[in-house]
Amino acid sequence: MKKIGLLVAGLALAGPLAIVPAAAWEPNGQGECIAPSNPGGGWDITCRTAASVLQKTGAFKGSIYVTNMPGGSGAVGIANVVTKRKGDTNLIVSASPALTFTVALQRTPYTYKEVMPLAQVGAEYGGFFVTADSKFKTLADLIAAMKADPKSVSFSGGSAPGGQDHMKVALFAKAIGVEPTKVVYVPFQGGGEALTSMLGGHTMVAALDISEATGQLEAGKIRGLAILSDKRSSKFPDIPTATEQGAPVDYVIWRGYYMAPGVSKEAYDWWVGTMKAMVNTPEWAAEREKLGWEPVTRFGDDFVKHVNDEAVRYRLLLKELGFVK
Amino acid sequence: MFEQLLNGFATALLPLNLLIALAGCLVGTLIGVLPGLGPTATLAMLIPLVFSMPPATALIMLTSVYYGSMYGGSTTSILVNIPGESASVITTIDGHKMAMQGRAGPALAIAAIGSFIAGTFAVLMLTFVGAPIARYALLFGPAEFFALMVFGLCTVASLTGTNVAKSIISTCFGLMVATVGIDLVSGAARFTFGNPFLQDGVDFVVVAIGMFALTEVVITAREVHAGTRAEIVKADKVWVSWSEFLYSLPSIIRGTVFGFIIGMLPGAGATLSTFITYNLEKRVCSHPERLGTGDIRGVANPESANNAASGASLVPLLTLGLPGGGATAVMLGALMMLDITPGPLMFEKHGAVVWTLIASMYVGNTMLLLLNWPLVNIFARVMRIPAKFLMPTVLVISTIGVWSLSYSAVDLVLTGAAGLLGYYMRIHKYPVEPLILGLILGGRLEQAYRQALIISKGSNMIFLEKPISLGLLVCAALFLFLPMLLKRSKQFVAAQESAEVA
Repeated sequence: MKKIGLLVAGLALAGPLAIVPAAAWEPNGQGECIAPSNPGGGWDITCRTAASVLQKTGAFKGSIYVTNMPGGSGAVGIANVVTKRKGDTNLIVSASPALTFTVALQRTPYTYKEVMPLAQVGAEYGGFFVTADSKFKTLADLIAAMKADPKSVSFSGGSAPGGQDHMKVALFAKAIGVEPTKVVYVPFQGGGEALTSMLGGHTMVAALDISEATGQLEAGKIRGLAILSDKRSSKFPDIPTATEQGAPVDYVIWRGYYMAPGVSKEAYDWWVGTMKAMVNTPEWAAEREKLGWEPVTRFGDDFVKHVNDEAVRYRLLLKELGFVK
Repeated sequence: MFEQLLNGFATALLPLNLLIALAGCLVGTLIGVLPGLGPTATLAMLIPLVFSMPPATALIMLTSVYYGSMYGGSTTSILVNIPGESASVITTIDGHKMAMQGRAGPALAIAAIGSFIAGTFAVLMLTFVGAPIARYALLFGPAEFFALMVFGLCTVASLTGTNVAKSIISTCFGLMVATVGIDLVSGAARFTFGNPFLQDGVDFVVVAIGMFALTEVVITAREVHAGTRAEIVKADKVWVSWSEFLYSLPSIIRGTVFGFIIGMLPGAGATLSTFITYNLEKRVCSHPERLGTGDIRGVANPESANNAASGASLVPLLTLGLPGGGATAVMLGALMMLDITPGPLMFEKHGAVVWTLIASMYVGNTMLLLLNWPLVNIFARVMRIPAKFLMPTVLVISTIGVWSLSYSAVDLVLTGAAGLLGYYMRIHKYPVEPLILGLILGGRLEQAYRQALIISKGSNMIFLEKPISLGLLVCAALFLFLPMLLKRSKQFVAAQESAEVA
């Protein structure tokens, strides 16, 4: 106590140097964003976009560098952050539902409870797409075919079974009362290959994110049967949602960040405020449009609850599908 | 169209863009030379830079680096028997023997010339007949891919010649290593021992560096110590002679055409094309027995094939918006960051940028050929460096290459293990190349097989019902069994003749 007293006295004596009281916490030095993927991957883009906007708008005073830490669909990244970066106030880590699957499938011993989920800064919608000349004109045609014989329709997606694209199909099957394990889902490495297979007629329906389908949609080569969200996409408002067509599926692919465990409340609040401010800047809006993200956001506690609920929900679904015991 | 192409050239030939292309080609060549860093990794590293550039300039930089690293990949294959990237594995067979015979210069030169011819051919095809031929890529679904890869694997038996049984054992081991990681179909983790780094499987680079680089270092050290190291013949010329060029021209043309056809299939890629064309080369060229002993055609053919293939992989991407594997997927990411949505409308909506990109491919190819003229001279001198200096350097650079993959100590341990196994295999004369091919193709092979079975609901008949797949499987069977049958019948005839004589 005495020492602190002396320190305070010292500061007071220092006078002019300490005139401006530090009203709130401010980050000091360099910032870092860990992208648990290779450069060019989704998580990498999430990091680089925030880093560039935060620096451009002056919201973060120092520079923010991006570290790539690929491995195990986010498992390597979260392990590193939990064990080695405790209390690091200058660090954010990019995340998306792909990490929720890594958590729900227990491919990492850690969960969202061991880290501090920070903010969701945007979201992408998924959808079902067919070739322009497909016999499925609307989602109703697809639902009818699935109900008659689930095995008569083949879906392709860019993730392994139990991953993001497979869940789109499984949730849809559940919503229309078809046993999800009966659905024919063909996994490919990435949405591009899943799309190619559908275009070549090797599979009938592709379960993709809208950004993966944009080029072909604009050219009229493929048709969107449904958007898997409760709102229509702002880029393609002509495609109806699945909910409108009697298959209530709300499956939003959020993009966001988490922080290391043990970060002080002041620092965490500063980051929450900064992220809130960031998504309202014109610089961010421009980047977001470019990436095709919807302005769907969540911050702080709201976001913490969302990701934890999501992990529980996916875990139950994966259990039902037989991917976890 | 010509007008647009000329406009493209006008942009690509601006002084700043030329400078960027030159820098890109140089950087690409140097990075391609480093084992461990292939074109895909190189492009991925450059993506952050793209953020701050105008689209045309950014694309020029990316393509020139991509082309440069494809050209550079053969250099270490030839000089120190370590493939710079997966598509240059085949080049080690004849390339390094040429270097030991004092012909490193001509080997490097023909690699550059073959690459130039193949690269230019690919761009010409892209310019004039892109979209119509790209459609054929759509014919290939999982069943057809499986058949193509079986065809590719059947070629290894005759690849390195000596002992078929050993080649097959080596291939199977490669296929086994390929099963490590998260299974794409069931999502189960296989042979990962709970280690998150192993979830993504064993990277080909890790094994290739262990088997080629570490083994080479140990064997060289042993030979130097025992005084049995073969004297490297002093090089008398560094560029390729006119007669050597004419001798390898047919091989370059065959490599280019087949490389282009295979490379255009999404996901098949440059590596598979080198294995298949080299094997075809063995069947159709004159004096096939010379291949594998340091024949210049053994460098010209696969190097043309891999450049034609990597050029071809851009055709479906740029004309139809369909990404293939590896480097084109990275390219796709770059395009999206530049706010260019890849798709069938790309030429309409972003014509100026796309034509500049195509023009810069012509420029890049020409620049690399000119650049390689002096570089061949410099690189060929590497052969004069005494082993006691060269080998430790190789060791350090290779280790950095492995580390740069995912900054994981697990990879380094695996490289060490691969080195030990590679040493054992070299001593006991097991060929290493089939193992590498098995590892590269294994994951895709299994995936295509299981995808096809999901589509056919478990029936293997799908492979026989689809005409392309049936055709490829028949070819594979012929490749595998025809030589044996011919040999048998010759022996049979000979035996009967000798019986008659008796």
